[in-house]
Amino acid sequence: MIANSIYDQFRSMEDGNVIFSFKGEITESLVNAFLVLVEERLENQEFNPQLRKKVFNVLVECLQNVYHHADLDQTNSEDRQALVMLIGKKDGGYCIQTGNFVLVQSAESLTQRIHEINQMDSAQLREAYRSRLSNAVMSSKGTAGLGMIDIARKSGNALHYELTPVDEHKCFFTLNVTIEEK
Amino acid sequence: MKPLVISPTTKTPEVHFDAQQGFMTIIGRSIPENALDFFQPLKNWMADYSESPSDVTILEVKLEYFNTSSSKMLLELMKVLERIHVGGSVVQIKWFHEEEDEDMLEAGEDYQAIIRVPFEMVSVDEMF
Repeated sequence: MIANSIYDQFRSMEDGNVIFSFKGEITESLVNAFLVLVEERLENQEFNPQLRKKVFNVLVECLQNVYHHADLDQTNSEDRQALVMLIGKKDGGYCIQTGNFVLVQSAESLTQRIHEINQMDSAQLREAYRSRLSNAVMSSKGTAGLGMIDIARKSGNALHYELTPVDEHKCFFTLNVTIEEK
Repeated sequence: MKPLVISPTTKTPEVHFDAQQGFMTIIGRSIPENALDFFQPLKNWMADYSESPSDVTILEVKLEYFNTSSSKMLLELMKVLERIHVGGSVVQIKWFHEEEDEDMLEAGEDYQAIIRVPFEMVSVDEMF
């Protein structure tokens, strides 16, 4: 089945202007390797330095978000191979998509948070960022709840997500961020 | 007090903190997964320095990227400078950004809004 569809997969990635894709288990060294690779590709094909910086910045937050919040049962092989990521060119801009499993009980607060962020204009996002930056306490993982606000702020677009129920414990969470050329 | 000198990596900045000169620089990029590990020695050094700071203290921040994990730690460093400033010494933070880079300019303005230390925004053509 895989052998029959690999050309289709190549075709759809080629035609869809995919510049990077990955499915598998996320580790710190992989995050590092992806960043080096994607930065190199962006340098070779994106000549607007500000757009390039924005895409890289948003990518860092998206990847580190997934990496920090991949807190499911690590003995379950499906959970461990949890990340799907795709970066593509789209109408002169870029889209970054990530997919990973989340626990049912954390899904609600996550989507609630995205709804709140999506309702803010750029001034409100800025205010929310400042307030969280000065008041939030940093977790031992080095997170301060700023990632999603930062992604929304830098991308300048609403955060699109999908939540697909998997079983009684977990769902599959997809985040789709678009960054346009100004 | 010994200077703190850290070489840059692909994810962490170059650091040069000099107590004698009262001059500190952070240059490059700061995107580690967990900024606590990287910034803890900087915080410790800054805390020691704050006990007998020089008359004039300048922090220069020249970053092309930083992640949200680093943003919180940068704020903590600046809070130590704020305490030195409140204690009566001259303190200045120079925030460098590329002219076209609105994200970095806004980031500097965010700190400026939070920290009560004189801030100078320095716009340059190209950072590196």
